[in-house]
Amino acid sequence: MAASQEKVAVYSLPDLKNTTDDAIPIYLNSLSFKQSHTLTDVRLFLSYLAFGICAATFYWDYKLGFEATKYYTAAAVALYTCINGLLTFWIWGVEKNTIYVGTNEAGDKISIQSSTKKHVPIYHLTITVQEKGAGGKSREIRIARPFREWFDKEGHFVTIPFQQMLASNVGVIGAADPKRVVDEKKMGAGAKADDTKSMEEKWNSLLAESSGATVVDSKVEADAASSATPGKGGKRRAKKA
Amino acid sequence: MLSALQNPRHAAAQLINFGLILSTAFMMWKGLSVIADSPSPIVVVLSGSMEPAFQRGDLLFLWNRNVFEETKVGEIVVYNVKGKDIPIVHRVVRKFGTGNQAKLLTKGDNNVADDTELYARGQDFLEREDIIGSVVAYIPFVGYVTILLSEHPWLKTVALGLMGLVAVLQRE
Repeated sequence: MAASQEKVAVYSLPDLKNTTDDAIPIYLNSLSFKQSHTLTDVRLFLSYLAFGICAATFYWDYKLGFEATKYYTAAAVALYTCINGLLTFWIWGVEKNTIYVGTNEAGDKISIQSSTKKHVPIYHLTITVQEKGAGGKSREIRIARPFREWFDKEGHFVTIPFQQMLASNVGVIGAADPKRVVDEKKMGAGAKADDTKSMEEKWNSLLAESSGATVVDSKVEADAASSATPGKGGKRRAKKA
Repeated sequence: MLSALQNPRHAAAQLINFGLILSTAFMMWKGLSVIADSPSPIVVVLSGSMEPAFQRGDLLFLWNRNVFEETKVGEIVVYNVKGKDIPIVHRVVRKFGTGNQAKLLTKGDNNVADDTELYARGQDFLEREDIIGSVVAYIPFVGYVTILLSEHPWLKTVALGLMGLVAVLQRE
């Protein structure tokens, strides 16, 4: 349940980012958030419109020849350029790496943008929450976390620490999923502040925090207990659970 | 990787990414056509008949507007013969008359005889409308790829297939 079957190469930043990006809608939609696809749909509409114009141009050019159609072709080229410019504006100016827009039952609007810097395995999230009662005012939450917090060393995506990270940092997600909220100070010890701690210690602290929520069967727990170092046990549990 | 294709919006987006690469290339080509007023503003030299000016594989840029002056003797032009769809690059060597009705005779620099043999049956000269452009610039050799592609058509299929596959599968 906790770790995905699929593996990604842990040194491939696009793989890490795409897998994580894909996990956010799955998680939030499972929490009664209603996803809005407007941004994507507008982008797709513009793209297919541009492609349609191009296809029409190709067809009449092929059927009727260049001379007979050159004024239409000129118009089509101009139109195509405009739509492509609009599309570029939409992607860079409006979408801005937005990976999720949704509203919860109370009407609070959440929009999430994600980014990474080239060859730095840290996931940057900008989460904008617009609460319904707050008179249209919106809050912005910025989170930057290393991917290793929710990918094990084999490249499996581990759901729980990721969901905890979101639920603990973003109020509306935490309210929708109180089980995943962990004390930032305690969890943050592993996650945010000191990078001096080893991966194993972080896993342990994370798993200790989530033990209430994690479904851990007794066999795995026994395995963990019998293994010599607590670190190995933690990792193995993460993999099996 | 393939799981991205299970989400219809992802799949549609991946597909149109490839579509937009193709359509943008096509529209740039058409834009150039419209600007140069030529159905084929870039051509590749297929024969050695214009050596030493142009070699096989040279890429030629054409301009088909007579803004300041008419096409005149000495210009290198590309023309289509009625009934044949291979454009020919040769030099104008004779001109009788003016305007669109002017009669033009062409010859390859490296050929012994003029082009009357190459023209359609019963045609002894070219008219302005047969010409699809005068050569204004060229890049040596880079067109050789297209000669390879047209002489080995299966390469086209392979290249297009590979491009499509890459565009659909990668998300970087």
